Amino acid sequence: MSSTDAAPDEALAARVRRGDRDALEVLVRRYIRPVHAVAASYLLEPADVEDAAQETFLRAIRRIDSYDPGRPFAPWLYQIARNVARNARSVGSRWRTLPISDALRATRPEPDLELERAEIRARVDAALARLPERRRTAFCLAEVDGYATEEVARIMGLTPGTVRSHVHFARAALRTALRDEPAEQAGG
Amino acid sequence: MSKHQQRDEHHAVREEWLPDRQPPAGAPIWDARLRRILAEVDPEMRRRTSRGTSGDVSWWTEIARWRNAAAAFAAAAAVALVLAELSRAPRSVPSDALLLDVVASDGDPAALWRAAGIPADPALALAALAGRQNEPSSGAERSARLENGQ
Repeated sequence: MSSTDAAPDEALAARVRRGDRDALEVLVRRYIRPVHAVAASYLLEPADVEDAAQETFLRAIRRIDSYDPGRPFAPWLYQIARNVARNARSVGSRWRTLPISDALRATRPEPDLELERAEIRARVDAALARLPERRRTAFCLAEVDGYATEEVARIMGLTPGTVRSHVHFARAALRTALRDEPAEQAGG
Repeated sequence: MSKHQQRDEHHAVREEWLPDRQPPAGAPIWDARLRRILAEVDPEMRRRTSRGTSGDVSWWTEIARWRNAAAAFAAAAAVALVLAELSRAPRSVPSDALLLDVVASDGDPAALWRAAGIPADPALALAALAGRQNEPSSGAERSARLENGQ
């Protein structure tokens, strides 16, 4: 591992400001997955998620002069990712257009079971879409992508306690949606 | 198992119902995405690199880069200096013009005041002129008169 690989985000950001490509590569490699995960908490079309992640890094580099190295880098990048994904979503990308994943379809389970899963996933998606932004992102990072609470807190610039609270309430909202909501309302 | 039974049994949200997770860290797709992002941001990085190296050039090259702006600034400063000097110059009335005005006033007090640049009502001008004539003389004149025994 080179010294660049181990350098803190803030030092790498200062080097990116001067046009250092090695530092940029390390930063992008470090954050490419979380940035995709944040974008995926807003947009579930894989192409939209990828575009949003790409746009996030481009904007971050364009605005790197406005980044204050005295503050943590991850929440600054997260804020950009959030804005990009939110804009993309408002422009017309949809939260989810595939109610059932390709993997599920590939296994070709019994048609009834497949339909039922599709319905439940549509309900979960609708419930996720109704969650406040931060709550949804915290839930997706922690529960969908498996990031540790501390890591989610670092990325989002929150305390671990706040992240745990977001995840708890998101889980409760999803459970309620699965238990109570009539199937006809689930699609919205 | 019925739908209701399934829901009651699984109050917890199952992973298969959640959105698809991102590929694991280290999966080849991340390398491909990384390359795409680096290619996308390359023009911006090139711009930054060129800006960064321009910081190493000598001071006179830097001055040459700012030559036009410096020349414009110097010209503006010179114009401002001239204007400031002009505005500071005393606006004295030419004495010839004043003399002509006094002659032209022909003893009219209002015209006399006007010649000194003070617009005045004819009656008030006359009163003011009379007042000045009756005014006691200055301290220096008074001492001179006393010395002469007047």
